[in-house]
Amino acid sequence: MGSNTDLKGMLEALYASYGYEKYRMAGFEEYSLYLENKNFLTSDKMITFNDLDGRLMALKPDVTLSIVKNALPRSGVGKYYYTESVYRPNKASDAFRELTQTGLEALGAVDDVTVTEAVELALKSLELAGAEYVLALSDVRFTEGMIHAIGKGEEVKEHLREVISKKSVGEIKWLAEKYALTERDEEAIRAIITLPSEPLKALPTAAKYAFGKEANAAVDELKALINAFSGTRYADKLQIDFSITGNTGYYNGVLFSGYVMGVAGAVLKGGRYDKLVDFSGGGKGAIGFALYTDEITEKYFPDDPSVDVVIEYDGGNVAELLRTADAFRSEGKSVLLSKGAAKSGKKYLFRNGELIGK
Amino acid sequence: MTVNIALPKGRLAEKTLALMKRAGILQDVGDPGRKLVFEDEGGMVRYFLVKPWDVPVYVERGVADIGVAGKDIVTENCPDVYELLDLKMGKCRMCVCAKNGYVDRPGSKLRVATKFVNTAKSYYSSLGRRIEVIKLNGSIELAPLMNMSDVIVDLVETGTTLKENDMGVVNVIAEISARLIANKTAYRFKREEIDKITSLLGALVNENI
Repeated sequence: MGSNTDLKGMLEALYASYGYEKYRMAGFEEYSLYLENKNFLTSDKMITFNDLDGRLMALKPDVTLSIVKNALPRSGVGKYYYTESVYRPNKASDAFRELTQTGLEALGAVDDVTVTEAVELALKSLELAGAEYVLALSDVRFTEGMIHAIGKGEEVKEHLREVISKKSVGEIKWLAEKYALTERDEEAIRAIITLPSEPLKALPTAAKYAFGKEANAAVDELKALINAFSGTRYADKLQIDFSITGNTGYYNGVLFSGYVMGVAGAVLKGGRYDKLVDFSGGGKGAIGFALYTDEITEKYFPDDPSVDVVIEYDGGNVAELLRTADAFRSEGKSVLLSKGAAKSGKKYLFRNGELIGK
Repeated sequence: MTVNIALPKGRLAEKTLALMKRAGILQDVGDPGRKLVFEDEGGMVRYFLVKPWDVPVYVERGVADIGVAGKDIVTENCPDVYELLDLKMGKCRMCVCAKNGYVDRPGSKLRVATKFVNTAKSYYSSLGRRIEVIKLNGSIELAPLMNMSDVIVDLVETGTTLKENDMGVVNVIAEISARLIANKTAYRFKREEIDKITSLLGALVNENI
């Protein structure tokens, strides 16, 4: 395990090795950018302030919107990675908190290769945490295909989305009775919620309940992704899970969530979001993900507070004391000078201008 | 792998423990005394007792892999967890209640006293109704009696307290019962164990219907 900065450094080196370009951005954007796309964000609550010219600004709650606004290429594909702070409300403490995100975005001419490469990078990012991990795959076209095929009003659709995303098997019967769902609908919802996590078992079941062209395309794309990693060390790290959902106004394809053992909740979130970039209908695509590194760092890359050598001094010759410390440093050791008792480390005493040993 | 379970202190914990023993998920652990954490002899589960409102917090933050929480608390706090099973215990209803004879004036701002602030806001927002929420922590029924609020949003089990205070149910917002909830990361890494517990409990719950 390394130090705090190692994880970010390793992630950035990984993305750079795939030709992704480092993207740096300002700490804040105009509030209107986020307001116009508030459904893309995890929350519509932001830290706002008036700039000196009166414009309403916000400390960025999200990175993707800024990159899309500034870096969408006219042709070809633009690939960018970043490490940035974002500011979001923390429900538990009822206050805003600063989160560190490292992630990437591929914009423009996104094809199967770009998508598969993004999934590979998501797997490799999780692997760098050095612990057990899983990348769960879903596709918004599949769940929406099923929900639309059931063919009820918006209230029922919302309920269905909630039941699927919460894996609420116990609610299915109640839902079926309340909204007069058919046995076939009930069976399909149950099958999708209780889908085995192993892709080779899950995909045949998913294929059976894929309603419509888009949902079938989703299953085919998931199969292709699973096949791409078959026989690699990532094969048993992939799962299929349709409880992962995204806003259908933005997302239009594969979605993924990454989990690391010992860290509560998804640490990596991403997916295909062509609808955010293809506002002119020019066939542009986008895929990306963000890794929330703070909790992984706390758990698996803690700061190392120890020092190699502690020299306790009681005054005397300052120049000699500094020279003595430097002699240790030239041997590659870290040295703490401390007047009186100090924290642990290999202790030496410096008395009357001389190092007198342990 | 051992599954960590957060249970709400009180009646619901007793009922859940009895159900788990019947399902063969844990052995008889004897008198709990003042202990807070209990290890099952078989090593399948470890459980701990916490305040009912804190169960979703323990589960969402991954300290507990699964937990038992009232649907009222889950709806109020919206934790990012899976809701695997309706345990059909602790049944009651989330209701809007008022003094008998109360007449609502739809155009006016409604004063709503409640412990369930988010639930009340969400319910009235769905109706497009302007409200003023008065957050209380207990004895909610007192608010309309003292003319501090027009209505209350609260849990109603038998309705006895309402009757004794000359109050009644105006609307039912939701049916409430205890739910088995799961942490999303734990569900990935302990799926076999969690599915087994869910299935054993589910079989018993459905048997009792």
